[in-house]
Amino acid sequence: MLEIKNLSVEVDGKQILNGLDLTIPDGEVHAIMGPNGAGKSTLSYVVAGREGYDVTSGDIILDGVNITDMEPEERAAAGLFLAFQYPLEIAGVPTNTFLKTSVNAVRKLRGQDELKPIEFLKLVKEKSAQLNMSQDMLKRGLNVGFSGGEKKRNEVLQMLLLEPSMAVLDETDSGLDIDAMKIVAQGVNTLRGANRSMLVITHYQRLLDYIVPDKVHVLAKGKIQRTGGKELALELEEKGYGDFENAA
Amino acid sequence: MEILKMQPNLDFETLYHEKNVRNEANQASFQRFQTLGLPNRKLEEWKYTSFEAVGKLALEVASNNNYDLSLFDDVKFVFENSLRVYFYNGELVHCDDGLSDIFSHDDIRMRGDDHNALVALNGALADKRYSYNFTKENQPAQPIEIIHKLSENHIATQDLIFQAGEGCDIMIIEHYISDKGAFQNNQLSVIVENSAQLAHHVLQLSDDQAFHYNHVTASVHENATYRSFTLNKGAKLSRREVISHSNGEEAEISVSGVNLVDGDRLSDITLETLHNVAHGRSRQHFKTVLKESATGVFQGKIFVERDAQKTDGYQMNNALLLSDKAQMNSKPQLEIYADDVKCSHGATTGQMDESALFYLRSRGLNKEQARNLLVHAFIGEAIADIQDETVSDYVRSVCNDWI
Repeated sequence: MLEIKNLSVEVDGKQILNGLDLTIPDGEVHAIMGPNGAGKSTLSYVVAGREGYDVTSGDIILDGVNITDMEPEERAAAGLFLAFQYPLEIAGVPTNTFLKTSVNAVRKLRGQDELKPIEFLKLVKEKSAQLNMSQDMLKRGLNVGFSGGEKKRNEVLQMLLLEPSMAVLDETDSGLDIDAMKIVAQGVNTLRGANRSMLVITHYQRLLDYIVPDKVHVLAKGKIQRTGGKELALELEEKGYGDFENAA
Repeated sequence: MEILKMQPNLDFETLYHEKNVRNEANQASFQRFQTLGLPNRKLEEWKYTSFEAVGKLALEVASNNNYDLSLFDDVKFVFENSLRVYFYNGELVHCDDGLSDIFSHDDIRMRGDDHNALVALNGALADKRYSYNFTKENQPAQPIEIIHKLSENHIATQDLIFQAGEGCDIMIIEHYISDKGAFQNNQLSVIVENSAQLAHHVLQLSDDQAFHYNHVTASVHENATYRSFTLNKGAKLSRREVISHSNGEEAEISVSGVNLVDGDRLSDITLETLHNVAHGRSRQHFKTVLKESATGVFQGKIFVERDAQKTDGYQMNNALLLSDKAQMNSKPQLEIYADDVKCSHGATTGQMDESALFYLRSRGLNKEQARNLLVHAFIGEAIADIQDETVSDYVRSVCNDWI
């Protein structure tokens, strides 16, 4: 369960989030929609602990633990996962090596034994097959030469491997065609379960046809302006965000 | 032989007289050295690197030649089965039997190409010329490892020749291990004859208070390949110059390496590739990582003669600054007189990518692990230029220890 209470955030002295409240109970999938510049990406970064995002007030609580001041890796260990809008490319680090380093780093922080190479290979083979990712892809440099869809699948693969209790998906649909989106959504849906919550951040309603949310929130001007069921997404698609942007 | 300490700022005359063998060639070089003086920043080619500090060292020439192999017990060789040649303080200590038809030495000869003072100093003080002459008949199956070890405050000046005869396929690894206050000044001529291949790896792993200068000129002939890889890790002040000539059609030249600099050290890589004939391919590729208040220098030039049409030249030089006080000086140069060539170059100097760091940390890596992974990735691109896996594993492990 993720609880965000009265969160205000500044970036370079400019206020981006302004007393935001949001609670995502265990097992639920929520979507955040909103116009460009509403603070959607800021919210995802600040939850994941990126430097340069100053929390001026409020708390972020994950499964009862206050993570507001934690380092990014400590949040990952605590069960948080952020699927990036623009996954980084790192030439010279094979994807496989990166995945193994990540899985074992998180396991170590969670007090679990590191996986033996053979155990890891088995695990990665199984999870990547779910996402139609070839073993050849995993030998390449991290995200190097990957298409937009392959990068997003790689994000979901990491999510499957790290088994977070709370996953934030930042614009996971950007740059995806319909087929790629279906594969990604399928991967995400396999992770839905009673002990896991998700926050899907998106500009468009399209993704929510495949990852059907329990609740939809509208973020504008640094706070949640309205909350509704999945039908709210359809309404926004039709009417746009004009009403919220013009709101006082 | 009496050990001789130099006074600060004393010239090298005493050292010169200390050496027993002085022939015409030594004399000519010494005169040239005296005229030129130690290189300083007023000279265009030495804009970023002064070697005047060498004049303040208390240098000694080798005091005896009774060195034995036990002095090399701590050397980590790359290959277990390599053929080896051992030098201590510039003196030949041992050469493996398998090289007896290949390795020879004779008196130093008149060179007439002492175009800078350090090369002239080498000519003044070197008493022998050590040659490795490979032919298709005598070429060994194993790699060759040459160890140049210097003890504290010693100077070694060597004149070396690697000649890979027609059709040869040779791998050489040079180790440079100098102790503090020592000055290694080597000059090497490389000749790669038609259709021959020479893979030449240099591991400069000296103490961080040592001084190092290395001057290489290579002549690469038709269909021949010269691959030079440098791992530059030690020495307070170092400069490696590789001047390579593409002298035959379809010649291939690759000069790459990793330059790791920390503390208040300065490390200079100066390259020049000259395409004298058509259809040559060349590559210059260096990665420099700078910590603390270290200084890195990269000067790289590709020169294409008017007749060297269809030349394919590439130069890439990237520096990663891990501290605000570190500094990188880059001078890429292309000088092209032919009109049908393909030459590209790029240079970057930057700090660690913050978004990449955050990405890795969000996946559970701590700050140090994330940083190390990114440094590995950075230098890994240059290590990929090494074709032999045993050598690249060795280089990677030295880099790991440094990071």
